[in-house]
Amino acid sequence: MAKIRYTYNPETCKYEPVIISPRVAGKRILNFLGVSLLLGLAGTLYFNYRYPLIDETLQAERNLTLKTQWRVLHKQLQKTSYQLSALEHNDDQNYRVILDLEPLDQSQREAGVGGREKESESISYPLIRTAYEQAEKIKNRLDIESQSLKQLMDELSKKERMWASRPAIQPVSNRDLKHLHTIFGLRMHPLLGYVRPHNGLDFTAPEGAPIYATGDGTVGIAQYSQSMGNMVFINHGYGFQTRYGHMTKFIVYAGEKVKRGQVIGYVGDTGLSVAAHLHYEILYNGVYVNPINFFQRDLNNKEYEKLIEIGSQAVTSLD
Amino acid sequence: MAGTKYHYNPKTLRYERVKISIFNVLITMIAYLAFGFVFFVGLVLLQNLIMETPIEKKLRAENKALDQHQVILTAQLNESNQRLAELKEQDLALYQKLFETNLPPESDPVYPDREELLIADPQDFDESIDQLSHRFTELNTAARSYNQTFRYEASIHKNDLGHVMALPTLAPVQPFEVEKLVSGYGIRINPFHKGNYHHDGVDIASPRGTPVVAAGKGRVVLTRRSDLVAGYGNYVEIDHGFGYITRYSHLEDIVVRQGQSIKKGEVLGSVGSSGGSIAPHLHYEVIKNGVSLNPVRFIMEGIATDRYEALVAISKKQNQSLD
Repeated sequence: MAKIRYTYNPETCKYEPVIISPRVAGKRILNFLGVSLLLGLAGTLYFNYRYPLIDETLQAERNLTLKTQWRVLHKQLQKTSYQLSALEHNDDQNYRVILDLEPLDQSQREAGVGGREKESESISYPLIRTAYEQAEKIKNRLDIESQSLKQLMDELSKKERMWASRPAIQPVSNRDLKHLHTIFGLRMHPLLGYVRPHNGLDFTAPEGAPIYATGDGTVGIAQYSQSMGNMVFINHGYGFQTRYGHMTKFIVYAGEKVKRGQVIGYVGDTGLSVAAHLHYEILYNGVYVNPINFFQRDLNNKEYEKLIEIGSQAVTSLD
Repeated sequence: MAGTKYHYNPKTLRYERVKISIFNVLITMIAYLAFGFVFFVGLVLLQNLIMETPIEKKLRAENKALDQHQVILTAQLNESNQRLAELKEQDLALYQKLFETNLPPESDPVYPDREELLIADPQDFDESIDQLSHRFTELNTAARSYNQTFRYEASIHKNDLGHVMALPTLAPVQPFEVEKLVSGYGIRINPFHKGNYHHDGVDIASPRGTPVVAAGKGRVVLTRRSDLVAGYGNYVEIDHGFGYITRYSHLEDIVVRQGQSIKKGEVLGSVGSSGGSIAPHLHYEVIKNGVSLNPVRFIMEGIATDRYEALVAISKKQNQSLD
C-alpha cells in the first residue's frame, strides 16, 4: 500500500501528490486518540455502573475470609470458657464441698479486675469487641480459679497434716498382742486394791515388743514416773494427746518429732504394773476418750504392717 | 484534505480512484477499539489508584482492625489455653491427692459442637443418618427385650408389692447427682491412717446442712448423738421391715425421734461431719439381717439408666473414703 496518493487540483488541472504536513499528522493522531479515549471512558463508566470497584471487591473478599476466621476464634473462646466452667464446677461442687469451704459464687468469679485499662471499649466493631470482652472475662476467671485451686491445695495440705496427726492405729502390733483389755472407766485397781478410773486401754504383749506412735506429733514428755513407769507423752496438735506407759525403755526424747508408726519404745512392766503390758491413753481437748474408737479394728495384720513400715521409712527420710 | 484521492497506476498509465475496502475499515475500527481498551484498562486502574469509595474505605479500615486484633487475640487465647491446661493439671493433682488415687477423674465433658452437623457435607450427613437409623434399630430391639423383663418384674410386684415398696430405693440426699457419691462400698483407703479397710457404706459429699431424707418408708429405730470425734457421730437408723435397715451417719443435726414412723423422702436430719469424718458428707449404709450390702444396688429411684451406670462406675473406684 506504500503507494503515493494524489489529489486532483482543479486550479492547476494537475494531479498533485498529497503531502501530509507534521501538523496534519499530529492532528490526525490526536483525533484518533481522542476518540479512543472517549471509547475507553464510556467503557469505564459502564463498568463502574455494572460492577463494584476492583479494590472494593478485593477488600470485601478479604473481609469475608477474616470474618470466618473470627468466627472460628469466637468458637475457640467459647470452648475455652466451657472447659473452664467444667473446672469451676468441679471446684465448687466437689472440692469445696469435701474441704468444707464455701463455693465461690458466679458474680465473684466473673468480677473484673478493677482499674484495668479496657482495650475493648474503644473498638466499634462488635465482632472484635465481644471477643475482647470474652477473652477478658476468661482471663479474670482463670486468675480467680488459679487462686481458688491454690487455696484448695493449701487447705488440703493443712487437712492432710491434721489427718496424719490424729491417733488412728493400734500402738502394738497384733503379732505381739496377747490380749486387749477393753475396760475403760472405773475399775478396781489390781495393786492399789481400790476403785479408780482407768483412763486408757491395756495391751498385753511380751516384754520388748515395739510400741508405735499412733499419729504424727511432738514428744512432750519422755521420762520415768512412779505410777506409769517409763512413760511417753505425745502432743499431736488439733486437740489430741496420747500417753504410753509401763515401757521397759523409751527411745525418743522430749521435743522430738515423731511420725505415725515410728517405734517410740518397748513394752515392759515398769511402774504400778502386774504384768508386761502397754497402757495407752488418748486425750481429746484435755478429756480422756476411749482409745478403742481411735484405731481401726477391721484393719488386717498385713495392712497394719504396711502402715508401720511407712512410719519407719518416714523416720529414716527425716534424719 | 478535501477531495478524492487517486493512485497512479503505472500499467494503465492513468490515475485511478482509491477505493476504500471493508478490510481498511475493519482495521481502523479494531485500532480504535484496541486503543479504546487500553484507555479503559488504564482508566480503571487509575481510578482504583486514586479514588477510594466510602465502602472501600470502610472495608479497608475494618479489615485492618480485624487483622491487627486477630493477632493480639489469638495470642491472648493461646495464653489462656495454656493457663487452662496448667489449671487442669493442678486440678488433677488436687483430685488425686484428695482421693489418694492415681486414676483420672471422670473424662472431660465433651464440648457440644452443634454446628458440626450444619457444616458437614452431604455425604457425611447421609452417613450420620445411616448411623442414626442403625442405632434406632438397636435401641428398638433392646427396648423390646427390656419390656419382657419389665413384664416379669411387674408380676413380682403383684405378688410381693409390700416387700418391694419397703426397699430403700431413694437416694438419701435430694436432689441427688451421681457425682456426689465420692466413695463407694468395699475396700477403700482410710483418710486418717491411709491403710486399706472395708468401707461398709457409701459416702455422699454434700454441703453442711443439706437435708438428709429417708430412703424408704419405715420406723426410726435408733437416733444417737455423740460428741466423740470418732465413729459414726450423730446417726439415725431406720427399719424398713423385711430385714432391711438403713443407717445415716455423721449428721450435723437430727430432727426425728426414736420410734417415729417415717415416710419415704421425709427429712430426718442434715449433712454434717460429726464423728470420725474428714469432710461434711453422709455415710449411708444398707444392712440386711445384720450384714451390710452395697447401697448402690438400692439407690435407683429417679436416676436415668445412663446415670445409674455412671454411679456404679464411680462407686467402684478404689479411692479414699471420707470416714
